[in-house]
Amino acid sequence: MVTLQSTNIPLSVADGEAALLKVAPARVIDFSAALTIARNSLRVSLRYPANFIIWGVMPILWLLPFVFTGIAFSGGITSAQFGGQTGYANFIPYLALGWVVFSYVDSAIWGVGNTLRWYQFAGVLEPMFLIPAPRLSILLGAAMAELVTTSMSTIILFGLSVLIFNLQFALTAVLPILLLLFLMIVAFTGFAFAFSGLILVFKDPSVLTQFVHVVIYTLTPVNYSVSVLPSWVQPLSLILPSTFAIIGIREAALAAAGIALLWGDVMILLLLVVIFWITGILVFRLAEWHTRKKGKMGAF
Amino acid sequence: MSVSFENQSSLLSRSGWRYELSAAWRLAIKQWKVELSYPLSLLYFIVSPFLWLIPLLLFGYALTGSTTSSALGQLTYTSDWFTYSALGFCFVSIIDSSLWGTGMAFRREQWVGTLESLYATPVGRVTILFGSSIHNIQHGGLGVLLQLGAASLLFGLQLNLVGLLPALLAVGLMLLGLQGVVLFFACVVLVARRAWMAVEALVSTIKLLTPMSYPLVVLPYSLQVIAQGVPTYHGLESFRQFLLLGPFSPSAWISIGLLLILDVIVLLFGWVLFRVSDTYVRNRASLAKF
Repeated sequence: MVTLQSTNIPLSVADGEAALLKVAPARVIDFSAALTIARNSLRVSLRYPANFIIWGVMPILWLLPFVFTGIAFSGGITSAQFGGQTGYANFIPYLALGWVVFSYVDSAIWGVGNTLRWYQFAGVLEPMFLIPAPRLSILLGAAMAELVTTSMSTIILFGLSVLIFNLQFALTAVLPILLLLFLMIVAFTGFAFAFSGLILVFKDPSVLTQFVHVVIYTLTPVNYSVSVLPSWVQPLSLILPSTFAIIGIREAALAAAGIALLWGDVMILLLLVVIFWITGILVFRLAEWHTRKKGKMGAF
Repeated sequence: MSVSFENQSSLLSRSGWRYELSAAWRLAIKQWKVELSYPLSLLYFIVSPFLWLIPLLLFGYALTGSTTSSALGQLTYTSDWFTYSALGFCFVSIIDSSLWGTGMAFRREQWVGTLESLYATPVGRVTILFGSSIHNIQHGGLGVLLQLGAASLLFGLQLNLVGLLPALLAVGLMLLGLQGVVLFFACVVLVARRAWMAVEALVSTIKLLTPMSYPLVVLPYSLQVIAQGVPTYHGLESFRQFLLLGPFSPSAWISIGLLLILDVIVLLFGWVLFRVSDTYVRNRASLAKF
């Protein structure tokens, strides 16, 4: 029997549906629906338990080639040239922190941005679009699930980096790091909204995802400082939240910079959160409207 | 139009390596058509090989401030890290393209709902993978030519062109051995379903053991020993030495000999494993399961 939860009055199915729609008016994002979708995504992820083990080890396999390259080119774990460029002569902690932070960017692009395409492959995109919640809730739910799985991976990456390379970081840096990381993740969730919209329009996610990934990866100071980029490219790097997050996190972890010194980075990230979310929502809605108008929602 | 029973049976009785080769070629063409039907694919195909090289070059420049490294010169036969890394990167691009493209061929067909139809076509299962391999070799090979061309034009990459033919032999032998690895990946995909993560882990491990921009001596000793059993390591070393030192480098020819032995072992292993997995999946009727 269907009942309206708040009143416990038995209703017919039709009445119940109507009441449900009345108590669930359309909003920009339905956080309750997003949480349900996140739980569902995590449940699906847990169906493949080997994934967690693999994702825990994967980032270290991406980091190691850069560490070995650094050792081969500089003859040790420090480089005076690198120190002059970045401010940190020992490139291993520099690289490790860069890769930890970039894991979240990766997850926003590959995980959240491609969510709708995965649904399409699994044949559930159209049913998902029929749920009585704003579509952006689906993407926010995917972002929440990705946050959990990515955090598990990055904790393993960070732990392995500390163990393998005997890295030492200031404990006082934990709070500023978490704040900068949180702001960057929120900003990139807005970016993922826009990116999902583009995948709805262009369909083939592999090409677009790889292109966006390599461009952001090149512009973000994961392995080198922004100053190494050509001068005409540097402004592009400065519109990415990952640039400010990585720079700030390195300052906090490696140079023990307090929150007072990182205030500028925090303010810029806040501004980028607003810009990325507004742009992301607008682009997604435009792409969704365009795709539905063309009747190509389920097209491959 | 009706097809007579005789025609159908004559169609099914077609067999032999020429028929399989023709089917594989058509599958490769089909894959090109699929890729080119997405408007961004063509653009990305042209720029991507170069795009992925840039972060590595910037990292090298941040470390050395120039295109040479005396530390690398002490460890290898060249101090020109730029040429050393660019050649390694080109070689690894072919590995990437071959492993990802062919290893995931079955999973992609499953995603778009054509795996069972493909399995019902009157060609060998290995032919389906071989068709995908042909496409990926073409795709990867063209990418490498674009990479080398762009690096030569923009950065003045210096190559010993006399060593080009033996270098291509190294690439060919490496690709042959890689087909064994690809067969193994296809098994993982068939049995483990959401296997792209497993493929990602294996590809990343192979790439770590195939020293794109560093010599093997910088790896821990245990990894150096494992790398000796990986065909891609010997392929890359001979490829790079032929193009940097010319065709008469003795150590490059030793690597070619080792590569030949490893090719036979890896191909046999992959083929046996694929036959076993194929039978296992069909016996369990789990071909189309997600």
